[in-house]
Amino acid sequence: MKKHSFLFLTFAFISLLTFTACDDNEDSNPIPSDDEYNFFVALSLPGIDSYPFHLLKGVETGSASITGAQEIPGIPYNVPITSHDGYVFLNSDDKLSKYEVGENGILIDRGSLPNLGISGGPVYEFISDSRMLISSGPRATSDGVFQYQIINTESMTQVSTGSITLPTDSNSKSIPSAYILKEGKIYVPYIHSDEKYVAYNEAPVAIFNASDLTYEKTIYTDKTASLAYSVVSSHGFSENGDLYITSCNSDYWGANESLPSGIVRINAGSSDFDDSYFFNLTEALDGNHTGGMLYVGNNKAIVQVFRSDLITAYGDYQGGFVIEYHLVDLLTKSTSKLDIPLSRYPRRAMALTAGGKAVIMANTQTDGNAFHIYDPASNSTSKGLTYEGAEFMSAFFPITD
Amino acid sequence: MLWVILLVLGGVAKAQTSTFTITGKVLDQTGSPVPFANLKVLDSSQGTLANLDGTFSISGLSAKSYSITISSIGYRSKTYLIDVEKNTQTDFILVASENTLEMVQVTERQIKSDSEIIREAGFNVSSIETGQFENLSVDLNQVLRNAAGIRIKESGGMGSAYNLSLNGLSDRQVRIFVDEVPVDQLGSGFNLNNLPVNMIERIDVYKGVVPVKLGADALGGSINIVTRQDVDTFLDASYSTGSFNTHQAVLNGQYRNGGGFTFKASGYYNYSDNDYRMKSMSVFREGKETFVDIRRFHDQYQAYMGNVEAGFTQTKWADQLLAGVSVATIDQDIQGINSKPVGEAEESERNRNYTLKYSKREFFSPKLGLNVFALYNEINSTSIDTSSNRYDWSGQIVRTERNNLGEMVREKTIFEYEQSHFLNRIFLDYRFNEHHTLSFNQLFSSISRQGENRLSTNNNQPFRSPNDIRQVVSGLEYEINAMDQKLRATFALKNYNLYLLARNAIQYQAGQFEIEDIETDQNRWGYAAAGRYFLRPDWSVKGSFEKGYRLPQPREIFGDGLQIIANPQLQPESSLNVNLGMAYRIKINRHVLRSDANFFMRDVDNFVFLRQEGVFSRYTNVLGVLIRGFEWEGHYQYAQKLTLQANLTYQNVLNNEKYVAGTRNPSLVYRDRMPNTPFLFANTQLTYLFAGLFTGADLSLYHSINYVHEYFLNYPSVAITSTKNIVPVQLLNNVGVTLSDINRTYNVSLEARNIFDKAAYDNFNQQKPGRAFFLKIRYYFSKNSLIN
Repeated sequence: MKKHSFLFLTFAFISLLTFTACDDNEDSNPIPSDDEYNFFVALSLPGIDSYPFHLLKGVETGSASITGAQEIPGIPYNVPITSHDGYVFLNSDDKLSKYEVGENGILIDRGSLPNLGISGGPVYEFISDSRMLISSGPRATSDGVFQYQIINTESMTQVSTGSITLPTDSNSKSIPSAYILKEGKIYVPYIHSDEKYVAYNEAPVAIFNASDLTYEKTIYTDKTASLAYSVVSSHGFSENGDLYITSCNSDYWGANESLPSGIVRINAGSSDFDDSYFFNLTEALDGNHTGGMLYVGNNKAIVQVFRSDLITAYGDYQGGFVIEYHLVDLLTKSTSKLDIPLSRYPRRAMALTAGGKAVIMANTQTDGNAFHIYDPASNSTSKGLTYEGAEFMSAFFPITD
Repeated sequence: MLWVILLVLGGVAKAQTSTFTITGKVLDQTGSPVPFANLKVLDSSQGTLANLDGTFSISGLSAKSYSITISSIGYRSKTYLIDVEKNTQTDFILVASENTLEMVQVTERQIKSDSEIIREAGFNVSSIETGQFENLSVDLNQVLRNAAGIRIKESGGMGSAYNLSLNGLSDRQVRIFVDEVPVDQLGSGFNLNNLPVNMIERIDVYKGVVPVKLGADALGGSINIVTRQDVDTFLDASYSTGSFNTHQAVLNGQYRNGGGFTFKASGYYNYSDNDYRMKSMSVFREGKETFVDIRRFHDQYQAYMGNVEAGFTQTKWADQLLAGVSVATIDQDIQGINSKPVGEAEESERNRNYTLKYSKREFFSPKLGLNVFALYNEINSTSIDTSSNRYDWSGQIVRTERNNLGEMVREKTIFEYEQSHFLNRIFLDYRFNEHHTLSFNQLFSSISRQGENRLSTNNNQPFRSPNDIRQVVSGLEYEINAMDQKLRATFALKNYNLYLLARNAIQYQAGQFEIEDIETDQNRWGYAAAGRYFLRPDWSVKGSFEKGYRLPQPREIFGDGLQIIANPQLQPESSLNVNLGMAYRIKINRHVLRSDANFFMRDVDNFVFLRQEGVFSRYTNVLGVLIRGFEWEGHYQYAQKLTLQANLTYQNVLNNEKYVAGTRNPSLVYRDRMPNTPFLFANTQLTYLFAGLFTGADLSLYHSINYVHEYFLNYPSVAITSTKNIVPVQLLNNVGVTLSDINRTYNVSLEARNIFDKAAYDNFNQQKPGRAFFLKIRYYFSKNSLIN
């Protein structure tokens, strides 16, 4: 009998050792050895509520894996804002933090300050080399009031705080899309919608004095609805200073497809819409609606297009493989589809490199997740770095010096 | 109408025969009669009280073996095994006690407690007798930690949100029952962290494979809380107070007269400020981030519940016919949601339950048993989130926002909802003979929920019209006992049916959001088998498997009417559960050793997860999960004085999706350990009883240790290890001392939890209380008023 009990305990102990011998908490994912990093990529594994980051040396060639990604110790949920002077700025629940890109691409905390909250798409603009205007709090309000901070990004201190008011009807909502600095003024395109987030048939842009954020006026266009959106590149300046803004009025964001998607223009030296100009993208793109725009130079831009024929559920806008990219000529109003497979997750998917190339982040169904490079000089598109292990890449931006 | 029929049938059952009577005398060692000794038939509610001359009579017994425990003040309790084949006459001998009540084994065959009988079933089941905890200031969450395979993650102190996992499956996948009544949807009054241990007799934890009598869509297992089943008149009252201005009072009592009329009353009151110290919390002072130790604020919790039942027990026409009503109220500050400080939001809940229970072991026939209950439950819940102030962890306002959003970053709300819930269960078992039993169980549940935000101006709000869910789970089970009780096997077939009608659910249709009615009807079949075989009297092996389902819950299909959109296409989660185990029991002289080891496997499909989709989110089927694990439980006792219990669980909860969701791209985290999931944890408890240390009093000491190995918040394969966020190792020591009089009538206990004031995290960045002290006073009285 004692022999049996000894055997039993031995069996249990060996079984335990067999299991515990595979402890995964060892240092199985070592730090990479590279030391030059110029791209910041945010990754998503929404199935397990995980959102790590990865700093890369470049995205035009090669491959990378999520095993080399990183988390922010102590802060699992961060919203990437932007890069400036070689630093990366992230927003978390109760603070806005500045990170230096350290050796081996590890982010190093270089200071924080209290923020105004956290939302998926903070709107911001650098109003000088070391002053960032940012609203990181709630995305939508019914009174049109939005608080902002002006931050000294060198010392990570708050210079001032205040609020702007976007003209908003009763029983309506306002959602600011962007802060755009143009000729000493801050232009704020915003979604003016009913309580179900359906944008009205008139797209407003509120204008404030950049020096003190005093309200000046609001301009409207009835050619499209819902100009710009905060989580996607949706405006650009041409070489002569004209401001182009695309509408984001698909049912995903602006939710008013009764009007066409299109690009409007505010000319250099003017603070009104150029009524003579409207690029009807819905008409040019087989009835589809757009989600964003990246100006690539020489009056050309890349627009992000939702394929309406592939969308049956709301979740398809984000999770379906329904996104195409088209090169458009802002003056001739011609379009041509780029050779990029249908992809999903439309947020922060386009940016320019320092060399003037356009980088497009594509999460595809059959071709993996990869960056695609459009070179305006050769008018060609090529597949760049492939990324393995993430459910999808959710945002990226170059780390600028 | 059903109840009328049952009552009539109960009257008919009264006429049934084939029962026998035991008569005799209770004597002491000298042959003198022991007056008024208490005789209790184990595993039943039958018993009697001896007369002044020691004579007794117990009638209504079937032809089988019974264990009868005889106890009397001043004597050692004694248990006899009696084979009843006809009317029997026998005397029982009691031995004078030197100090304390003690069970003495008097037959060659081992006398088993209810928990031991449960453990010897074919199912993988842990049965926890709560008697060892009844003098401590603990709730059921703390008791359940002593079962292998269970891990409970709490977000704070008393009343805080918790997540219970059982062999790697958690939360909605594990169903909770009280006396075989599912209580998951009955409101917070039945939460495990509210129910006091004094009201409980034992807890049965079924892992993966669940008997049909617990008829519900329990994918990961079921926990059945068995309340005290005393047939006697008794009163159990206690009060405890401790750190963080914590107070708990419990009253549990029963009166029963000779005619069987029974009145039960129970209730509890729980209160805490939960203002425990939190270490190294980030706050900003003059724009600079500092880390300070601060007291938690705005986390007061108060709950009370009262329950009364009246009816008849142990009559010839009913083992139990009881009607009851209970009310519960919970008022709670909201704090620490997603680790964020909250300064003003609060919530409250009022719920009422009306119950009717009837059971008869020999219904119409000695072979047929019937157990039915009906329950009607109403919940009124209010959630208030109207503040524009934003707080830091020191309780200071850091800013006041000028918008329509509350602290939870949602539209300011005074959201009220009402839920009504009707539950009905019928359980029949037919015992062909001692070898074969057929059981049928059906559980019907109907829930209707209606609510609105009183601050909203939107007249077309979802949930302003009732949303309905109807669920029927039926099961048929066949049990066989063969080979001289060596083999026990169970086979079951289960049917799961769900009907949902969601009025005014948010839905995306034809390019626009619509508010519309959504109707869905789903049906699934499941099956299960379990078996146990005694290789030797002290060795047994077990095996069980089940193909089970969990039907989506209302919130998962309806959405919340605000930011969670409806998903009528949501599929039930399914799982193939397998358990293999062995058990060893031995008693040598005064040493008792018990050891149970089990391997388990769960293969889950259509795992339901809340996904963000732009400004909305939606529950979707996203994952396959594979769980493999091992658990061990050990128990050693010496001479009723020293008791050592230990358990250990190792589980690998693995991602089982080969491809990235929605693509054919290989997944790098396939077969990687799931994030934010403990994989190794253990508990020990040592108790020593100093019987008669003081005149007329016993002293007992206990020391327990809870250990959880550190684990990653993310997949092990994701991100560089040095940057990974970790839920740190948890090693908590708790000690206590209890002083009781020899009859256990008066009890005083003092306990210290987390005595070394170690950091305690069940969830990332959510600190639990540190060192805490509690004092509990308990009074227990039993009149031994019995039937017949």
